Amino acid sequence: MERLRAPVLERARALALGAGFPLALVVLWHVAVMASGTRLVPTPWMVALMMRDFAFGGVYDDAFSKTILIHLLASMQRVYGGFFLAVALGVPLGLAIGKISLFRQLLDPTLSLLRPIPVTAWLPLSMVFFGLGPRSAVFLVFLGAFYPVLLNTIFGVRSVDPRLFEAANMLGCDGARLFRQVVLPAALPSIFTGLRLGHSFAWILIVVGEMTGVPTGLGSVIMDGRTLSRPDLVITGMIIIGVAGFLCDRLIVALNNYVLRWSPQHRG
Amino acid sequence: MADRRPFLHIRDVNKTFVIGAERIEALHHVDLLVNKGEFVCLIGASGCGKSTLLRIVAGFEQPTSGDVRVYDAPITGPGSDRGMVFQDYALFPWMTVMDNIAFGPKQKDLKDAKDIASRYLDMVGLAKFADRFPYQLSGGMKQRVAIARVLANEASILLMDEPFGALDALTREQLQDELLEIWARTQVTILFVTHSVEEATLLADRVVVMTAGPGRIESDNHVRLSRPREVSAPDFNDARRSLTEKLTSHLRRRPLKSAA
Repeated sequence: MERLRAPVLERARALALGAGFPLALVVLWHVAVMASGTRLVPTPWMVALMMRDFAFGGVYDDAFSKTILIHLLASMQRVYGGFFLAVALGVPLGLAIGKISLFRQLLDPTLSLLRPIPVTAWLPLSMVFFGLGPRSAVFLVFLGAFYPVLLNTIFGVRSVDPRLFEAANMLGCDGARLFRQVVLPAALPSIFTGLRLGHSFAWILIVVGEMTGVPTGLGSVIMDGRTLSRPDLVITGMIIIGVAGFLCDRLIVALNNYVLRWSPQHRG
Repeated sequence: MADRRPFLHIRDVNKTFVIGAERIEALHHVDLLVNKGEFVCLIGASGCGKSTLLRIVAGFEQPTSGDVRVYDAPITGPGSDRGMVFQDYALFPWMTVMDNIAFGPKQKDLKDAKDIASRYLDMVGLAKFADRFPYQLSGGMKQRVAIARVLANEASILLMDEPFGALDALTREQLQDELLEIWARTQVTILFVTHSVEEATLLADRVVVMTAGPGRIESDNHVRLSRPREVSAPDFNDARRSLTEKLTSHLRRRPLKSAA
């Protein structure tokens, strides 16, 4: 019985601590706003009202009422448009750079030069290339997610035990088959690290991406909240981005745990 | 009809590694003829080039000069006729035991890859573990999978690089017995690198003693003991002692040389 009860208690404790801490922060937030008497920062209750209105309407009934799905879906389209583009380009390119020295010699110096440039610095050029609109946002998200995916894929390939490639060669596997059957699966643990990092960057960059004058999206809601001096709207947008990013990260972790079930140390 | 051509022929192989400004002569005029079905052990101190020689036969390294031929056909790279069994197993960790063993047959697009794999899985006694991943296996089981993997690929030459070096003594003895049984059943040719004189005496038809600096063959010794061999038998001890003397004779000479 002792051994059965212990994990349950342990889980309850983890839940209490994990959920208790943010709850305590919310209480602290409330107390701080009340005590200071500021009108620049809303109380948690005001944010909760705003969220209810954003989701179901019936509180303020303004331009933002009942629009959560429109903005969330618009943002998700851009986040995943950019993210999947980054994965579709970053993983194969990373495999090639990691395994084939010709690609490494050709591309590595250029990529190393481009990498330190902050994604936000691309904003003006991206508006020139893609105009004011969602395509610019997708491009910025893509840029932000691309390097973590690419670099972790390269790293994953470079850190594969070379004996696995030798073993594959001696068993008659080479060329394109080697990439599909050995290089890719062997690099998967590191690729998943890149996916998670790239995915979190994608959500970070959506706000920047949607600053470029798009009418919809959670980033644009936040920018509108700033222009309209509605901090409850700003914080609502922030919370929704946080929750959506978190839930999608859990999906990636679940996928990670399934795909990497052969490697207990890579379970998230 | 027996093929009269030499089976595995290592012909005047030299190998020099260049590391920075340094040139290291790993192998120096190595000649060795291995007959079909023979069990040959390569033994020697570390740095004698025995692993390098094995890797050249596997096709993972190219000799600086000389060549290795199988039935007169020079080896140009890795091939499925020669299967390497690595000390650290080199199993594909994302594949089940079954998929690891079926990997070779699948590369040839054989429809019965799984059947072939099952057969060799049975041979190494791991049928119950077909769906396990390598991380769920003990070292001895992993090495059995590695052996089954090259056998399923129809390798006629097994190249074994200190395959039992990382295993505990009991498991090692068990695997040595199983390897001899597999060898008798499949009649593969085995080139086996070890640093254990006892292991070489127990397993080999011939023990090739190599020395370092530069790596070369010091002596080629037939082990004329009947099988199965008994480690505690007097004639086994004699054979082992005589091999140990051959292995260490140059080691005892060397400190004198450097002192002179």
